[in-house]
Amino acid sequence: MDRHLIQRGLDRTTLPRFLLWLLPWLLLAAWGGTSATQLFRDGLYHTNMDNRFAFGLWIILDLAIIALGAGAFFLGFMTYLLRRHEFKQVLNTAVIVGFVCYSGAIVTLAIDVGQPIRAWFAFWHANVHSMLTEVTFCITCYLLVLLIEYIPIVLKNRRLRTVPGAAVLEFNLHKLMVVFAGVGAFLSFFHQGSLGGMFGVLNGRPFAYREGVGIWPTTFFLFIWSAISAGPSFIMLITMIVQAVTRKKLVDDFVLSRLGRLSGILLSTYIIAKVADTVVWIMVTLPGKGFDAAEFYRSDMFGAWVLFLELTVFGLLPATILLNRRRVEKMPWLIAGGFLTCFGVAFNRFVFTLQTLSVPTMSFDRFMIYWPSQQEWGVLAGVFAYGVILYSLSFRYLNLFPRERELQTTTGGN
Amino acid sequence: METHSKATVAYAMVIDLDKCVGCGTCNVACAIENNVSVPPSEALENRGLTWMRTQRVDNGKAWPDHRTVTVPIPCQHCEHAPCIHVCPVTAVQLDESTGIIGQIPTRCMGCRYCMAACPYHARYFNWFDPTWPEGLQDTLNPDVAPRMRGVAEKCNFCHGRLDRARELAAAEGRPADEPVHYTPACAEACPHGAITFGNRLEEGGPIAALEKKPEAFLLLEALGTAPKVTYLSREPWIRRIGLSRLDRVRGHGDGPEGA
Amino acid sequence: MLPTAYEFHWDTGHIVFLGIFYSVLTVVMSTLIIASLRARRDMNKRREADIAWHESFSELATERRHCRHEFDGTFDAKVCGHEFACGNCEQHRALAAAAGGDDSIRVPPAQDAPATSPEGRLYHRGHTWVEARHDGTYDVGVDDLLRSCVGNPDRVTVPGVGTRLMAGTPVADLQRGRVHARVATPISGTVVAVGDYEGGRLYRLRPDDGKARLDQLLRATEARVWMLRELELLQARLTLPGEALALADGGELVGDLMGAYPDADWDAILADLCLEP
Ligand code: SF4
Ligand code: SF4
Repeated sequence: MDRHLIQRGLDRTTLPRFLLWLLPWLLLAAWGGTSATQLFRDGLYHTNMDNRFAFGLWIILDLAIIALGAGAFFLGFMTYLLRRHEFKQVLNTAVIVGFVCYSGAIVTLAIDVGQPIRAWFAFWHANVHSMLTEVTFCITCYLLVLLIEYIPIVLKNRRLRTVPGAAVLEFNLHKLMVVFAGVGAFLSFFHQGSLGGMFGVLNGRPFAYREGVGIWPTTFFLFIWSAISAGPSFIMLITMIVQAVTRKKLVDDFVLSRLGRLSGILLSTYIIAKVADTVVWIMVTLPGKGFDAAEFYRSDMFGAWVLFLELTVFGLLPATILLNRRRVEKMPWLIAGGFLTCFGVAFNRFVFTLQTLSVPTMSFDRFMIYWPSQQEWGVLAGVFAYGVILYSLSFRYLNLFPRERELQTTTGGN
Repeated sequence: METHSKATVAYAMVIDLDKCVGCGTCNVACAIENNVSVPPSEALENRGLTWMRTQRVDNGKAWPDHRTVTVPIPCQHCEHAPCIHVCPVTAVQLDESTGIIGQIPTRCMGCRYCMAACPYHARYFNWFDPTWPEGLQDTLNPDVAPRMRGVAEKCNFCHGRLDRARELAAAEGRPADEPVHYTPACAEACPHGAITFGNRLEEGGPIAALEKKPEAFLLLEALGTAPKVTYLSREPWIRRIGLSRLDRVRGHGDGPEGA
Repeated sequence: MLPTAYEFHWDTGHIVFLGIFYSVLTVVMSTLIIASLRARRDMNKRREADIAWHESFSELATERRHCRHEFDGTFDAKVCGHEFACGNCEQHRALAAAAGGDDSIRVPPAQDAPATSPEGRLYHRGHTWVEARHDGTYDVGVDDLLRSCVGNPDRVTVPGVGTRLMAGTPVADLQRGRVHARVATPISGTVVAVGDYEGGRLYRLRPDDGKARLDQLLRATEARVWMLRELELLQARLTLPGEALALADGGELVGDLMGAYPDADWDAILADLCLEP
C-alpha cells in the first residue's frame, strides 16, 4: 500500500505488520500523553517528587539520554571533520537517535518545570552564571542543528526526492554539512559539560561538589568524556537492535567493531580521570567541607558498592573488553561491552541526581528515598515510545543505511 | 548596586536554641505575615510550605540521656549563597543593600535547581495551587503577594515589613541611605524572645555582640556558605548539630564530651 | 537575551555568553541561507537534472557503475569516477583519441535512407538508445532488454511535442500494473515528434544548441558487452537458469519477463535498469 513511499530495493514488511509493530508503542505513547496532560493541567503534585527530592526520574532521564545521544555530534565530528568515512554507514542513525534524545529531553524538561509557559524566561532573563542556562541555550541550538541534519535524510525519501528542488536543496545542505557538524560538536561540548557542571557547582551539596579546573568544576569535563565514550556504543547497540529486529544486515561488521573500540579507548581514559577525580574528592574536597565520604555510602540504598560498581563493572570491565582488538570482532563481547558502557553512563547520571538528593547535608537530616509515580513513569515510557516510533518511521520510509542494498544482495537476502 | 549601602547594612538573625521551647509560633506568624498557602491535607510529607521550618532534633541517646531541641530554620541568607548562581532565570537575587537573598516568584519557572542547591532545605515548591482553609483568607496580608503553583518560595526576612519600615522612614524625612530597623514576624511573635533580628554591621548592635558569643554556631559552617542566621546554645551537643553527620556522631569539633 | 531585557547588564558574563550564542546562531542561520540561495541558483540554472543524477549515481550499486572501457577490453575492472560524463574523463579522451575515432554518430545521408540498424545507434546506460537523423534531430527509443522486461505496458506516457528535456531526467513512463519504469532521456533537447512505443521509438528530439552531447553514450560495440552484463545481472536477480534468455544480436528480443516472473521485485529491477535510485 505504501510501496511507492519506500526506497526501491529495500525489503520492508507489509503495512499492516508495520502498524501492528507500532501499536504497542502507540499505547505507551498514549500513556505518556495522558500523564503529560494531567501534569500540565493539575501541576506537579502528580509526581512523587517533593521539597527534598526536587529532581527525580525525569532529570535522570534527561541526563542519560543526552549523554547517550552524544553519538550524533561525535560521529558527525569524526565523519566530517576527521574524515573517518566508515562512520557514514551509521551516521543517519546517529542523527535520528540524537534528534530523538534531544527533543525527548526538551519535552521532558518542559513537563518537569513548574511553570512551562515561562520556559522562555530562561532566554529572556538568562542568568549567564547558571549552568542550567547554558544547557538550555545549547540544547535548543543543538536541536536546531540536528533538525537541519535530519532534513537531508528526509528529503531523500523516494517520494520527496521527485519534488522539484528537493534534491537540489538536499545536495546544497549536504555540501555544507561540515559546518553543522562543527557547530554541533562545539555546542555539544558545552552542554554535555554544563550538565556535569550543574552538579559540580553545588557548593552546598558536598556529594556533588567538585573542585574547579579553570571556571568549570571537574564534572564538566568528566561528563563530556563519559558522554562521548558512551555515544558510539549506544549507536552501535541501536544498530545491532535494528539489525536483530528487522533480521537484516545493515552495516558492515567492522563498523560496529570500530564503534566499540572507539568507546573502549575513550572509556579507558575516562575511567582513569574518574578515579583521579574521586580520590581528590575523597581526600581533599570533602574534608575541606567538613564531610567524610563514608557517610554518603552508609544507607541501605547507596552503599559503597555504588562507587565500586561504577568504576569497575561499568568502567574497567567494558573498557578492557572494548579495548581488545580481537574481542571487538566477536559480537557477544561487543554487545556486552557496549551495554555496560551505556548502562554505566546512565548509572553515573542516576547517582549524581539521586544520591546527591538522597544523602543528608545537615547532621539531623534523614537519608531519603524516592520512587517515581505512575505519571512520571508514563512520561518516560512516552519519550521512549516516541523514539521507537520516529525511528521506525524513518527506517521504513527513509534510506538510513547506505550499504543496506548491497549487503542484502551479497548476503543473499532479497 | 548603589554604592552607599555596600557595607552599612547586612540583616542577620540570631536564634537562641536554649530559649526556644518548640511552640511553633514563629512558623505560624510567618505563614500569616507572608501569605504562605496551606496545601491540601492529603499532600505528601515534604510537600508542605513554610518559610520557617521548626525541626525537632535529638541527641540520639536512649532515656534517661535522651535530649531534644527544636531548631527553627529559615533561609540562612548565605553570604555565598549556593542558590543564586544556579537559577537559570535570575529569579534569585542578592540585594546588596540589605544582604537579603530575594526570590522573584513571578519570574521563577519552577525548575527547582535552587532547591537542590540549598543545603539547608530552606526552599519550598508550590506543588499545588495556593489555597487557604475556609476563613483563613480573611487574614491574608495585602502587602505580600501570594505565590502561584509551580514556583519556589522561601523566607525573605519579611520583605513586606522592610518596605513598610522604609516608607515610614521616608515619611519621617530620614535620608534614604540610613539603615532602617524593623522586626520580622517570627522575631516579633516568639513568646520567649529566642529570635533576635538586626543589622550585623551596626557597631555595638545586638547582633554583632550575639554572633561573637562562644556559644554561637552556624549550620554547616565548613561548607563555606556563610549563613547570616546564627544559633546559640550552651549545650555542646546542640552546638554539634551544625556539623556534618559523622563529625557529630564522633563528637569532633566543638566541646569535649560526646553528650 | 537582549539588551532591552529588564535587568540586562553589559558585564563580561553577558558579553561572552551572549556573544557566543549569537555567533553560533549567526553561523547556523547564514549556513542555512547560503544553502537555500545556492539551491535557488542551481534551480535557476536548471541544474536539477545534473544534481539529481549526481545524487543517484552515488547510490547506484557498484556493478552498475563500471567504466565503459571495461566493455572494450581496456580495463579488467574500473569503476567510473566521473558519473559517466566521459567527456570530462582524461582517460577516456586519451583512449578515444588513440582509437582515432570520435564518439559521434553516423548520420544517414538522406531522408529516404533505410532506417539505421542497431549498429548505428548509441546507447545510454538507462537502457535507451539514440539514433541520428539526417535533419539534425534524434530519435530516442527504449532498448530491447528494458522492453522485454516490461512486456506489454498498460500505459506509456511520453513527453508532448514542444517539451524541453534535460539529459538524465526521467521523462517517459512505462506502466504495467503497479510498477513504473521511469525512463530517462539520454540527451537534451526539445521534443519535435512523438513516436510509437510499439515501433520502438519514444520521441524525436531537436537539440537546443544544434548539436547533441553524445560523448557519454556507449557505441554499439561497447553496448553489446554491456548488454550481456546487464543480462547477467538480471538473470541473477530472477535466478534464471543460464540459457533461458538470450538477446538476439541486432534482432528484436521478444519477451515478457514480467509476465513470466510475476513474483520478482520488478519495482526495484526496473529502477535499476533505468538508473533510478
Ligand atoms: S539558606 Fe538556602 S535558600 Fe537561603 S540563601 Fe542559603 S542556599 Fe539560598
Ligand atoms: S525553581 Fe525558580 S528560583 Fe529556583 S532555580 Fe528554578 S527558576 Fe530559579
